[in-house]
Amino acid sequence: MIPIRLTVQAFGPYVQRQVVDFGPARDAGVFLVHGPTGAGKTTLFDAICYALYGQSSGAERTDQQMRSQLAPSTLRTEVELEFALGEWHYRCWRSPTWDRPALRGQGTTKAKAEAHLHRRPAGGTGEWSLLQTGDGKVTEAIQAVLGFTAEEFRQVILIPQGQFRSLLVAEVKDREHILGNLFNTALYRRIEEELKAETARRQTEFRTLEERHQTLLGTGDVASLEDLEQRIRQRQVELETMQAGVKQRRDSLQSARAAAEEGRRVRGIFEEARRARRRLEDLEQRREEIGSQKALLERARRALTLNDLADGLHRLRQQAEQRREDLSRANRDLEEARLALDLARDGLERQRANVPETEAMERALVELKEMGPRLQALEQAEGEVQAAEERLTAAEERLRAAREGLEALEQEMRGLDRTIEALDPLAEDKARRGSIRDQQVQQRNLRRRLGELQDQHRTLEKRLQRQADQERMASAGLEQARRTLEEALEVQRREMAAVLAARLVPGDPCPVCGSTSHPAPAPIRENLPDGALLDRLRQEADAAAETWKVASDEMLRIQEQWKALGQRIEEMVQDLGEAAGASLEELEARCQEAEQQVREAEEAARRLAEARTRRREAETRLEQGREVLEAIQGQVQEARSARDRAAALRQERQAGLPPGRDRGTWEQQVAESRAALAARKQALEKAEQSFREASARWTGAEARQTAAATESDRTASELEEMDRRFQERLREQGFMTPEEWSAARLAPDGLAALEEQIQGWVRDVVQAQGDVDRLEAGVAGLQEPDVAALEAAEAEALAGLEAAQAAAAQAVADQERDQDLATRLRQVQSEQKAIEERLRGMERLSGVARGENPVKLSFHDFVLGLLLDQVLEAANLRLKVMSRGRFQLFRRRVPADRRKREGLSLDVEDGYSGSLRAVHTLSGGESFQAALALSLGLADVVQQRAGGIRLETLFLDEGFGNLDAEAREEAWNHLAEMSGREGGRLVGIISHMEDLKALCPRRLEVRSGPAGATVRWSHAPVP
Amino acid sequence: MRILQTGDWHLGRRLKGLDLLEDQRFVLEQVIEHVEQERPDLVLIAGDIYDRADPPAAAVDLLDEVLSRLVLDLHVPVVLLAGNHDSPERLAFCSGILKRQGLRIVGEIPEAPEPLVLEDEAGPVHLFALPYLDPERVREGLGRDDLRGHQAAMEIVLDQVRRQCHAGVRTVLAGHAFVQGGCSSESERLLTVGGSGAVDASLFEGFDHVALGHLHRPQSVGPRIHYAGSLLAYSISETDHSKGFLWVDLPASGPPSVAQVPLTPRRRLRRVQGTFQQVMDGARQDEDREDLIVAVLTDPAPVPDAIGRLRQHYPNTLHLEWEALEHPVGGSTVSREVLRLDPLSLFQRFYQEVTGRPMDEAATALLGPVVERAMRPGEEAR
Repeated sequence: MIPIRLTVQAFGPYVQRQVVDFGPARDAGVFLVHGPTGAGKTTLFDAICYALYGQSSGAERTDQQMRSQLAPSTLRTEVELEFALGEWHYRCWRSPTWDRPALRGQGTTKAKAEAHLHRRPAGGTGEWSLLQTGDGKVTEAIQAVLGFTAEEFRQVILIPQGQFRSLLVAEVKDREHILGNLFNTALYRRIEEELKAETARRQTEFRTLEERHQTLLGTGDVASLEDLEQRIRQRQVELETMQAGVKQRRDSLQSARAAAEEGRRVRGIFEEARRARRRLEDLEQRREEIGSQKALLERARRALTLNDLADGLHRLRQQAEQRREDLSRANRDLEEARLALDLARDGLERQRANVPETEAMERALVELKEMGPRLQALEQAEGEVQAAEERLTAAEERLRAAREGLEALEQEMRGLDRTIEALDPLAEDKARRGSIRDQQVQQRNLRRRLGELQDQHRTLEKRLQRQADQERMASAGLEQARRTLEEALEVQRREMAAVLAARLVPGDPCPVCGSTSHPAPAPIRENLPDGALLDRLRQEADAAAETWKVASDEMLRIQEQWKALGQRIEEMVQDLGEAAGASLEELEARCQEAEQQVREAEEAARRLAEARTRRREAETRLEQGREVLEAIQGQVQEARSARDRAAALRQERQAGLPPGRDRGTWEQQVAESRAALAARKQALEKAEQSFREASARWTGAEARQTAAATESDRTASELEEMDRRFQERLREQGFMTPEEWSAARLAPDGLAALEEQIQGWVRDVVQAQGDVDRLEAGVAGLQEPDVAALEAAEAEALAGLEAAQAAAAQAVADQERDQDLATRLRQVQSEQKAIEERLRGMERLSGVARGENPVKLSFHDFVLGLLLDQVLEAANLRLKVMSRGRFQLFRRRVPADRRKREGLSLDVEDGYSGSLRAVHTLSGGESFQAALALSLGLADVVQQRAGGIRLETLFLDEGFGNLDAEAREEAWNHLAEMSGREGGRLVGIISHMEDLKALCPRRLEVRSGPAGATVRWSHAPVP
Repeated sequence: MRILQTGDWHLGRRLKGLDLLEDQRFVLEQVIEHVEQERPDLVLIAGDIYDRADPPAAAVDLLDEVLSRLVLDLHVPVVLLAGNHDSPERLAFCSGILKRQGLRIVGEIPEAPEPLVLEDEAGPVHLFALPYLDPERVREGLGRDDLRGHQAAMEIVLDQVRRQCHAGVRTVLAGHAFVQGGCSSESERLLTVGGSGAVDASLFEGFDHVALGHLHRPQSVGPRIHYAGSLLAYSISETDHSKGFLWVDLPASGPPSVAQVPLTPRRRLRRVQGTFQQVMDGARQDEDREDLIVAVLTDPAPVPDAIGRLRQHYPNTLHLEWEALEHPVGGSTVSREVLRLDPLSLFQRFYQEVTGRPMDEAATALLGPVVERAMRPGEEAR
């Protein structure tokens, strides 16, 4: 993880937005965060932690405290960190909860904490894609991405202020705490505790079981399982006896029951007889009542006969009422109809008054219509005029165009004429130029030939020379050969003498001089050339002579040739005259020029021919054009006269019509008139209709009213008649008044009921009598039994049986209960055994885990020890380099007293003294090295266990305090080397010390000011 | 023309807590003597005069003394340039005034460099002296925002210098830089992190002599670039350096001849090797007991209080190393692999370790559910 850019706003001492670009830091590797104490240096690191995890680096800075006190309430606290990890760039933005001023009204609203996380591929300027939002979710995402929790991150990235040496000199329990937090060793402690708890649980279980055992024994009221079993056996025997007794009781109960049954039956019959007699007596008492009811029945029957008549009378009364109503309604209708009729009459009169006006309007309409066709004609004429105008314009246009064309043609022709004039002479010149060119060519060729010949001449000369040389050589050779021969001959001659002399025998004559004494024979001085040699020499001389001759001949021949060629050349030079002197290039050039001239002339001739052709064409076109022009002019004339004619026609038609009248308005007027007329007619018709209707109505109403009156009278008289008849009948039947009659009436079902009642009583009496007779006969001569006594006996027998049964049942139940208890007891005992076994096992394990073992080491401490070893190993690698092999850290191994937990204490081995000593005896500079090595070792191990995600960044918060200048420089060198060596690890040193500024070229200056802190990179090294 | 080339004095430096000022004074006396005898035309001090930007007062005194002797007593011109350890501004205090007296202090990065002109029988010699070129300072000083790194900085400034060069005149360049191919020691402060801040040797073509400071081992890079090296050994890895200064003789034409004059230190930095006993025995017969000793002991096991005892004979023992320890350094590979185990197996391992017996099946069966429960967070013991 390497930070790229950090932005803070209203965070800690930073009020206004501050942006820290870590680019310069990355270039440098090691950089210094410098500023006075409290300016805000550590806050930068807090900001990084906060942006990533939502918490600051130490417990002493909470959410609320993180917000800048000086920030205006409208400025939001935000932190954003852009960082690179692997092949991605991430951007993590976060803002805590804050009290924002409300948008409306006074006071503040609580805005909740927000966060988001974006990412994009590294090395590009692509789009950021959103990974996650929400405070908690972003933290989780970051943990997943980095692989570290907040704790681990802080421990690995920051060696914090005041805690620089904590790991080194800490108390064992602090060290344990740190390691425990980082490596999640809590699990192992939990295992220890869980073991202990489990043991406790098992023990509880065991005890619970024991209690149950006891309780069970208590419920059974026995001291032990064996006693219980004994009791069960005894009871079995008793049970059998009881069963027999029960059977006996059952039999006696059955017989008692039967006796009681019989007694009850007999008593029953007696009872019934008594009841029947009582019923008969009751009925007799009612005889009088029944008599009066009969009388009522008689009267009601009489009243019934009058019903029909009464109904009729009632209906007729109703009818009379109805007729009277009809009459009054008819009167009303008549009145209304009269009024309507008057109204309609008035309306009609009014309409009739309008008729003359309407007639006048009709006449006007007719006139208007006549105008129609004439208007149409006028329109047509207008149209024609317009068309004629257009045609005229078109024709004029064509005329103009034609004129222009003609002019252009004439111009063209003139141009062509000029061209022809210019070209003519040039073309004429063609022949002359041709001859000049030929001449030039000829000269050039001659010159060329001359050149060739001259070359040949020179060549020949050379050959001649060579040949002359050869001839000389040959001649010399010949000389030589001859000389040699001569010499040889000479020698021979000379020696001949010697030869001869050699052959001279004293006394013999000398072949030369004939003398016979040879006093001084010529000595042989030189080698005598023999004949072969002489021959050879002669041959050579001949050959040389031959050679010379050949060479000489050749030379002469060549000479001849050379001379002849020289002659020819002379002649040619004369022919060429002046041109001979000129060089071949010059002549060539002249040829070219002449050629050029010829071509020019040819070109001119060609163009001339062209121009002439075109002129002929142009002439033809001009002719044509002129003809066309005439034709068009004629057309124009025609069009003009046509237009005039059309205009005259229009004029005619216009006359007689009122001005400004056109078809549109005319049509409108016609329509309006028609509409008005129609309306009037309609109104008249309607008035007439109304009047007719009103008359009809009135007539009808009158008729109806007459009819209604008649009806009403008739009905009244009918009613009177019927009434009289009714009264008569009443008196016949014995009623004085209608009320009497009314009272005596009964409904038909009331009548029936009464009848029924009377009949019923009669029937009952008969039946009751019958019953009495029967029953009393049935019990003649019998005694009534004492049922109570019988029943008592039965009850007793029952009770006895039940008691016996109950006792038996109880015994069975007790037996079952006891057996159940015995089973449970046995079960409990076996459980107990199993549990005890496991309990012992767990106790052992738990003890061992807690340190009750020969080594006196608990499980948790064991693991911690291993972890610490790992950390020390990593730390020692670095410490060895830094201290040049002098120091190594070790864990104190043997814990003498377990309570002291010394297994996690640290010692340092000093190469100089060859012994171990406690870490707090190291000097300032030395313990800086050791603490740094240890922290880095710790960081290494954390990273390995987190899956090896490299956090390539490290911050040191102070810690240089007690180093002298040399130690500071060494420490700085270590850090710089480490950063360089570990492939670009970024190391940030947070310090207020001035001296560090000289060592560290790349510095982030943090300054506090009245309006908050500012941070910027300072470039110039300030010594 | 004869020039005395030196540099990297680092006045005020301490080595392993030991103050070296007196040793520096000792060798500087020798330098002054040589100057007195030979009367060179120029003394050139090529940077890192002090060890720190704010040097101790005693170091300032010493420099004052030395320069006074050279300039005022012996009348030899001196050119002094700032190195990466110096603060250019502080060092160049009153440089304008001092120039008139013959002491030229170069702290600023020049925009238009002017040479110091020296004359000998053969004609003029131009000397261009550049301070240490921090890329940031060059960037700001020359207003070139695109400039990155030491190489680019050196190129740009040398460009300016070459513009002022005259053809046919012997030219000497003095500066303070790390040239590619040079051999560094532990006592040079890193010029940049994660790189060497080196510049290419080819940049220096064309000068008759290039006198550089920064590297503490006396050396040459190529035929023309020479480092005089530091006055003394400044880290314990420099036991084999031969420290001194350079005479540079410039002929009328052709390459200069460069010769080192070794200096005798008051206390030599030296390595002694052998078993503890051997070294102790050797110490008794050693005459230079005050020397700064780096002891490399070959015993197989460390000797208790080795350094204390050694210091009884060599009181200035700076450092002690055990070369051939048979120290077991292991035990931790085991721990790493063990830690990878799951909790159950880890417990079994633990059990075996502490009781000496492996866990039996019944115990393992008992343990299983307990571990599982412990691994589920949130369920506390009931």
